[in-house]
Formats: sequence, C-alpha cells, structure tokens
Amino acid sequence: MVAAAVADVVVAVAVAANSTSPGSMSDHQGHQAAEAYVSLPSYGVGLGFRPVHREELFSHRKSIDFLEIIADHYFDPSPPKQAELELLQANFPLIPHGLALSIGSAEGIDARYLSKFRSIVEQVRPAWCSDHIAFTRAGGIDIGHLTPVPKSRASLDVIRDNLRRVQDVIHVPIILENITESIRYPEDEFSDAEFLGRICDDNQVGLLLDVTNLYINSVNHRFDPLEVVQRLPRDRIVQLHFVGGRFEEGLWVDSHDCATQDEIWQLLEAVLAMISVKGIILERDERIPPLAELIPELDRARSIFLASKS
Amino acid sequence: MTPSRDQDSCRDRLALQQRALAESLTGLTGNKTGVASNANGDASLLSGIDPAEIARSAETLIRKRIAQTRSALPGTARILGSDFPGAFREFAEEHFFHGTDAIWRDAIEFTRWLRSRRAEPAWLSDTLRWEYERCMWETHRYYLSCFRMKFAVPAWISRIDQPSPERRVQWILVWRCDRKGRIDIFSPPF
Ligand SMILES: [Fe+2]
Repeated sequence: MVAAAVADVVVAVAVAANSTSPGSMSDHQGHQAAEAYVSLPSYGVGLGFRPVHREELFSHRKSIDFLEIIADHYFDPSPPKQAELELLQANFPLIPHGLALSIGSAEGIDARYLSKFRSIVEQVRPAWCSDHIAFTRAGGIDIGHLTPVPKSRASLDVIRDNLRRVQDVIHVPIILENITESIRYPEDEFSDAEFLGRICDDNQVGLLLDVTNLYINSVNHRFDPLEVVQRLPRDRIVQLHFVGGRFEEGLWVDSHDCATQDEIWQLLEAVLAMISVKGIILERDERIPPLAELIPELDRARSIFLASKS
Repeated sequence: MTPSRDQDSCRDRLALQQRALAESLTGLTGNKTGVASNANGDASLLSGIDPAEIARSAETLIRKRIAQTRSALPGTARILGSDFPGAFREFAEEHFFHGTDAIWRDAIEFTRWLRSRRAEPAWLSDTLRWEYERCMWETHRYYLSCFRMKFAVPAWISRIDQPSPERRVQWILVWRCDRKGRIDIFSPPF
C-alpha cells in the first residue's frame, strides 16, 4: 500500500512538472497535497442523507458509517433543519456536499453562496467537503443543474482561480466530483483523465470519483473507464459515489432513482481493486425507497470496500 | 502571476459561452433575467455543440423541476395526476427562479398560477391554498396567515386510500416564529 501511494505521488508530481498552466503547484506542494489526502480518516460506507430517512437512520445505525449531507439544504436553516443537522452531527461523521459552488463558472464564485457554504463547513467541521467539476451559474442565471465545462486550458484557469477563492475561506480539504458529460464541446483539448489529473496537479484538491457517472460517460462516449482510473492521480481519489442509472433512448442517464446495476457494481469492484479510498456513498435522489431497501446495497459496498483494504 | 491577454480573452469567451448555454437550457434570455446579454443571438458560441445534447440537457432540467415540485405539492400532484407534468411545462414557459430556494418558489408560484386557471374538483382550491401556505411556512422565518377551508384537505393528503377529502369547514392558522427559544406552530397539526 505504501509503495503504491509513493508511486502515485511520483505520477502526480511528474505531470505537475510538465504542466503549462501558470500558477500550478510546485513539486513540493504536490507532495504536500498528496500527503494531506492520504492522511484523511477512513470512514467506510455511508449514505447520501435524505430527510425521508431521518427516523429510520437509527434503526440501521450499524450499516451506516457516515453520512453525506447536501450543504445547500442547511443554508439559513429553519429551527427544524438546524435541529436535524445537530442530530445528524451528534450521531454520524458528516461530509457536506455542495451543489452550486459552480467551480467552473468563468464569471467567478458567488460570494453569498460561498459564505453560506463556509458556515456549514465551520459548523460541521468535517474531514473534507465536496462539490462538482461543473458550472451551475452564468449571466445571472442559476441553471439549477450541473453543467459540464469544456476540457480546455481556459477551464483549468477558471477552476484554479475559483478554487483559490474558495480555499481562502474554507480550510478543510476540498474534493471535486466528475459529473456526467451531457454536453461535449469542440474546445475540448484533454481526455477525461488528463483533465481531472491536471485539476489535481494545478490545485490542492482531491477527487470524488462518481463511479456511476464514470460508467455512464464510458458507455455513452465509448471509452474504457478503467483506463481513466489508471491514469488519474490515485492518491487524490478520496471518496466514491455510486447508485443506479437508467438506459433511455439509447443513452445512459444519471437518474439516481434505482438500485445499482450489475455493470456498475463490477466497475466499483474493479476501481476499488486499483485504488484505496476513504469513503463510499450511495447517492439515491429519486424514487427513494424505505431505508431498509437500501441497506443491502450498503452492505454489499462495504464487503467490496473491506476486501479491497485487506 | 497576472493573466495574459490571451487568457483573458479565452475566459471572456468561456463566460459568454456559459451564458449562452444557461439561456438555452433554461429558455431564458437577457430580457427575462433583467441582465443585458451579449451572448444572446451569437450562434457561434454554441456552434460545434450537438443541439441534441443541449435539448436533452434542457429536458433533464425541466423533468427535475417537475419531480421536485411534485414532491413539494403532494395534494396538487394527486389531483392533477398525469396532467401535472403538462401543466407545469406550461407554467415553466413563463417562470424560472434562481438560487437555493428555487424549488420552493417553483412550488409557491405554481399553486398561484394554477389557482387562476383551474376550478375542478371542488377541493382543488383548498388544496392549492393549503400547499401554498405550507411552502410559505417552510421558506419564511416569520409568517402568519389565517384562512378558511371548506374541505379537510390536510387529513386527505396524508391518507392515500381516501379518494376525496371530507367536506368540513375549518379555520386554519399558520404561524411561524423563528426566534430562538420559541416554538414553531403550524395549526392544525398535519
Ligand atoms: Fe455523484
């Protein structure tokens, strides 16, 4: 394990040295970033918390190692939401997951959103927090949906500057999630792996690898998902997401509304044979069943997670 | 390190492209957002992007809004049934909200919009009022409202096996006061 981690640091630093982006991290900073992510606590397998499961959580406490909460749901909380947050915090390790930092917005970070995100992080004091490699805001419009950015140098510059702004006020490690590539741009200059790798090389940031999104992109855009994982700075992959998707009109969609399919389980297993992560989250958003129906998925993920650690 | 002029122009173009995409995905233009749009009408910003991908993304966005509004308005969704998505799409042609409370604003404005357009069944009006008030209660720190209903809508919403609400005149008081130490009261209990 130690040998693998050292090899990964060497890969990360080697790419950083070749990077042409101004302001990229030095080799020393690259080492520091890699070490910072390796030393994060290992949580295990948890759930993306949805309020409908609030009461049931405690009867399945043993199957849930940690919870990911949607940070946006606790902005300016009403007393019941504040009480909910305090209840969760008293019983589980929590990871705040943002939906609209809009780290890929060329017009910059929204100061009001950032300040609300910061207050959740300060309240929860998590081991890390996360958002997406996407933009959700442009020209005064909040799209309300994660939209991909071109895999270009211009996007890398924007992400770097936005991340610095965020990291000036948020002092816990930030990890960024790969989204489904619903829109592809003629401006793309890099492959998925190169783009994610460069984001890590340029910044002190980790990755939240959504295995379902990786699977969906690999099928819709015909590439080998494991080749992408192989080429990523693996010691920066802190957390995984997984959930079922849907195949509609010839394409996979990240519907987050059904049980995880066999193909996605297989990919999760293969990914965990290649990398060591700190936590895995089942991210069910739609057609949410009683929690008891999700527990077998958590248990299955846990046995894969534990097997990968042994 | 200061950005070069090339970097600046790439970033400006990216900003315009993102704006053009945001407008395409939401059906909004600079006029509707109240912000002048340089992107509006510059077809080259989106050239090279497959129009089918933009259309699919726009469809995903509207479906997401429909699903969120449906769960915020369970009684209204039950009355409208399979008409719910069509009615919401019609509403969405003229309405789009920004920010973290956009889900609630969709729900609140959709009840207002429906109230002026539909009258049947007889308990629709009470259902819309009840769900409107619930959303207002959810989204305000201080809120007070008092109104009369002809049907026992809250009990009906919580009972899926009850085909229609009982006819029963009742006064409803909705009260929220968020000061620390004070209790939230929403009367009668759900
Ligand atoms: Fe995800």
